[in-house]
Amino acid sequence: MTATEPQHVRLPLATAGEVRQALRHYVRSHRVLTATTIVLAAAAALSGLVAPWAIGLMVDAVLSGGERSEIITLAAWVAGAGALSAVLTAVSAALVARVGQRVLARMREDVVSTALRLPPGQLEEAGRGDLASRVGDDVGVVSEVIASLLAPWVGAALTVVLTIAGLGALNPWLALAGLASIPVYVLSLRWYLPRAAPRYSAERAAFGDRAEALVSSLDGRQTVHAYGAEDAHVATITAASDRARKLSRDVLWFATGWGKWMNIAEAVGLGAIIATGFVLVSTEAATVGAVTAAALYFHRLFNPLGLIIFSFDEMQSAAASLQRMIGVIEAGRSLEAVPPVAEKPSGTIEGRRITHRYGDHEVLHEVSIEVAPGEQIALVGPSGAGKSTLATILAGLTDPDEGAVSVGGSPIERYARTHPRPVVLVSQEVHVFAGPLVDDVRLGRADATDEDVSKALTLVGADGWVAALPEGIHTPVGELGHALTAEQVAHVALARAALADPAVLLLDEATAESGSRGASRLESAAAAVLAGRTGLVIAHRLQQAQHADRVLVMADGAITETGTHEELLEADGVYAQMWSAYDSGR
Amino acid sequence: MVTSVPVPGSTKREPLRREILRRQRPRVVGSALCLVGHQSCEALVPVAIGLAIDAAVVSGSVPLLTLSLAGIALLFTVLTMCYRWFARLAQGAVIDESHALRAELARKVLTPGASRRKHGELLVIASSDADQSADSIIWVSGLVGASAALAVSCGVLLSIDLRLGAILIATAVVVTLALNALSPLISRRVGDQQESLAGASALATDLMAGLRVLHGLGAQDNATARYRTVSHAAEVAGIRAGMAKSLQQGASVLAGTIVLAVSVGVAGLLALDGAITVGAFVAAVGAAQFIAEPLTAIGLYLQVGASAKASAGRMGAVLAESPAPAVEQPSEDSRIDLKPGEFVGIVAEPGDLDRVAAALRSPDGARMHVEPHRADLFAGSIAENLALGRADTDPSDPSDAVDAAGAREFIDAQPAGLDERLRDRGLTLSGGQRQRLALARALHTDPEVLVLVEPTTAVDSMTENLIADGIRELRHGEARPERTTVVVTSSPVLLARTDRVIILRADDDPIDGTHHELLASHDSYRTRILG
Repeated sequence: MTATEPQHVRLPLATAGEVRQALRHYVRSHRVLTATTIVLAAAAALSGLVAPWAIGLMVDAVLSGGERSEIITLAAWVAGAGALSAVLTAVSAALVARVGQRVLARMREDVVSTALRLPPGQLEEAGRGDLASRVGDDVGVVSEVIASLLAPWVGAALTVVLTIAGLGALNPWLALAGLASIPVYVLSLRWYLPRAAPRYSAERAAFGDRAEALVSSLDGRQTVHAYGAEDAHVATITAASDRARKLSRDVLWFATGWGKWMNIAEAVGLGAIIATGFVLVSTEAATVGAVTAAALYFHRLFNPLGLIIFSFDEMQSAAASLQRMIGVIEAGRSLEAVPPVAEKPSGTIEGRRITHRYGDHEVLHEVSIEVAPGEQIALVGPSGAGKSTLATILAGLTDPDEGAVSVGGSPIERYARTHPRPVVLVSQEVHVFAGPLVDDVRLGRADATDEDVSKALTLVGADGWVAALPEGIHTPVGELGHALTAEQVAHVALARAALADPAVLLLDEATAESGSRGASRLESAAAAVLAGRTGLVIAHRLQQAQHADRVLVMADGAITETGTHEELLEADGVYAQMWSAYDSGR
Repeated sequence: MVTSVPVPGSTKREPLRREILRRQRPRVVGSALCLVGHQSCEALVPVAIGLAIDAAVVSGSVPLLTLSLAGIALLFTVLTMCYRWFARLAQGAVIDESHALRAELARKVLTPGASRRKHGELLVIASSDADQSADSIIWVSGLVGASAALAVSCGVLLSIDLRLGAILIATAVVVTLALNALSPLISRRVGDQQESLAGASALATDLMAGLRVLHGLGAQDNATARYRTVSHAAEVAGIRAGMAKSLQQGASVLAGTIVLAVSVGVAGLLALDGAITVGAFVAAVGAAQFIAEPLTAIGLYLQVGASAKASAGRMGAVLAESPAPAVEQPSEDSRIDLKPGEFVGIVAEPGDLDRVAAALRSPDGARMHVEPHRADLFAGSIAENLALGRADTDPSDPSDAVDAAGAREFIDAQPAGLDERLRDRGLTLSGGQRQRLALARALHTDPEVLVLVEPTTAVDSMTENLIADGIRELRHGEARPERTTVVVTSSPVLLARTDRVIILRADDDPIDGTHHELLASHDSYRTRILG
């Protein structure tokens, strides 16, 4: 990445062409299966055309006083063709589901794997939310449509096309009469879709607001009660729900008002066929049977056409979601494939003249830092000094605008795809992954055994509470699982890092949230993980700085003081002031 | 700590489903009548085709053609109007009713001492269960409408020819019932599929939420592998559900074929014998095919009713819950009497916070506010959040509270300052920023007695210092001599500012003293506070 490129890219939206190309790419691996599916589905729709045609012949046979055997033969044709169509429909629909599900699964896996590999430093905060909704909601929308609509849609589309072709074979004029309904369908749909979209999205947004109002009040019930703000919150929820109610009614009135056009199109087509048939029969250009067959063909189109028209919205929103999904894959195309590195580097880490900006705001200005193997550094300074940014850059998670980072003498970018990483950052952001605790800790090193995980948990002093869990290390944790305290969550984060066994460990306020008593326990846990490696700790409590080999004081994006605790106290600068403020409580 | 389980509600309240139907009776009746009209018209479309062919096409009479076309136009007009008003009345009632249920539920669960259910469960009940309970309206009017359509089709068939009608109705009923036998298989497979899909979505969202952690560990490939496993399971479940549905699709084609073949055979022979006209033949074939629709619809509406019943059951249970009994008062000897104007520090075990709050006695019934440790913020501007504890009519300036809480700098850094709107319950702010906003809110509430629980765990040492001074100055400066403040904490910075410190012990009497006295006299206090 060069300095001229924008730092915080928004995720792209794939163009229609890119979506088509991507779909072709995925379908290509199931070429034979796809072709077979289409042939079978077409055959199913074709055999469905036999019945109206046979009924038409039967009408003519009745009118011309035919034989009983003729009727029985035609009924047998109806039965035979219908049975064949039933079998073909079942087989082709099963194949459509198979192809659809396979393509979908590969696609969502590619989306998630790309999303995980996108360099985090390049995603702005809004971009992360966007990414989460693309891998969660958008994949969900497309999956739902493929599961519930793909097979019926393919069947309906083929039925419509082939029925119109069948009408044409029966009598071109009758086909033309039936086609008179098509402009009504097309024009009304063209009127409807652009007007429906904003209504539906306003309704969805109102649903979102309603959910937000419910979640915030329910989740913050304790605070609501503490402030006696129940009435205000009930009023907020009721207002949000009422807005959604009004929009839903608006959508309902609009959609049902428009729905008449479907019936109008049906009536127009049916009337045209009967009127045309009347003329054709009067001029002996067609038999009564042919007209009957045509009217029945057309009646058979009502359901498939309705299915297509009424699911147009859903198909459109699936297409939009598909654009967002493929957009993620497109964003990952420019990622270089860096091969994993087997050997572990030494614990030297060096940052040279690092400058970094967020927008116009320069958060780091030409910061240089060098840490020797095994050295323990404490980084202190007020919020906003750039400590966390420096840590993510040293960890190789964000490319600095200017400057470079090396570990063990080679550029950190070399280790981009190496697991476990030689430089591990335990960040301010804590997260417990849903699932068994052992799987969560194992994220530190994929090939770790259960014993390795237990050892890592013991090292950080978590063995006590883990043993007390209902299923030990196999207890489900995270969302819907066993709730962990802040201190336990910090233990898990440290245990992952211990398991990863990095040459360099960066700790960013990992012990901040858990209260002073827990904090001192966590400090010893952190010390146990840091032992024997290069360490850089963003110290929250100055106690942590006291025992470091070297303390770096940051302010306004630069390192302003450096030295041991005692040296800095003697120098009587910012650190000495911070310490005396901190120490005043003693 | 007293545990209280929600007491199952008394049976005084009528079942929710019945209550909904009673409340919406006019619209339930109206929509049912409209659906009867619509379904009857749908049943009459094939009859109209037959009549038009018989009357106009076979006869060649222009006036009859005109009449036929006018008849078709009229039929479709009635059909479409009936459907429109069925949808508006029924769906409109569902929309209104689910809103009313949601509002009632919100009031119920936000009442102090109400349901102790998890908020995730309550959210599901307030969202999808409210909607599905209201679907009881669709259940009733749908069943009535579909049954009427069934009656019309049977009437048409029987009026064409009794024998024909009897044979066709019997065939259609048997075939449709056989077809409905497949639906448990399908709902089971579709359920499995939706569950596995939801699992995949939840995992993807979870991985994205922990993206920074994964990057910090370089665990992306590991995470991808985990997702692939879940995605593959969803794929297999999707294919299985797809096979069940394709089986049903094929079976319904087969069912239609059986009805059609029987109807064309029998009606064709009758027409050939001259027992019925060509038009009647077309009408009979059409009506026989249509019968499957109301029969299937009845099955569908029964399912709607079943899920409405389940949802209404869950919803009704919450609405009928009695409030949980109040927290048990602690015995008199463990109470802590507060004196007006003092600043007290309390050192307690993390699990004891509820006990501490219950033990505190404010001087002469003064108003006490306990700010929870968890910094919950709400939608709205920062200023609105800060004014949560103030009366709506009170426009006082929160500046002093903001300064005391050390929140001035980052609030000023927001594009709109105090008017900046919080997104996602303030979760876009850092933990330290949320904590300072919650503290500013508590200080701005300005109660006579304020209890703060570990208010500075997420801020850095320098800021903590400023906050400790700020609290002291704001609540115990010259302007407010009578305010009482309690901090439950083990932070030396905060404790050093207090007038006295109380150490609560699990099985022993509390120890009382100033911070410096206790540091000098109690080694256990010293190690606990200073590490």
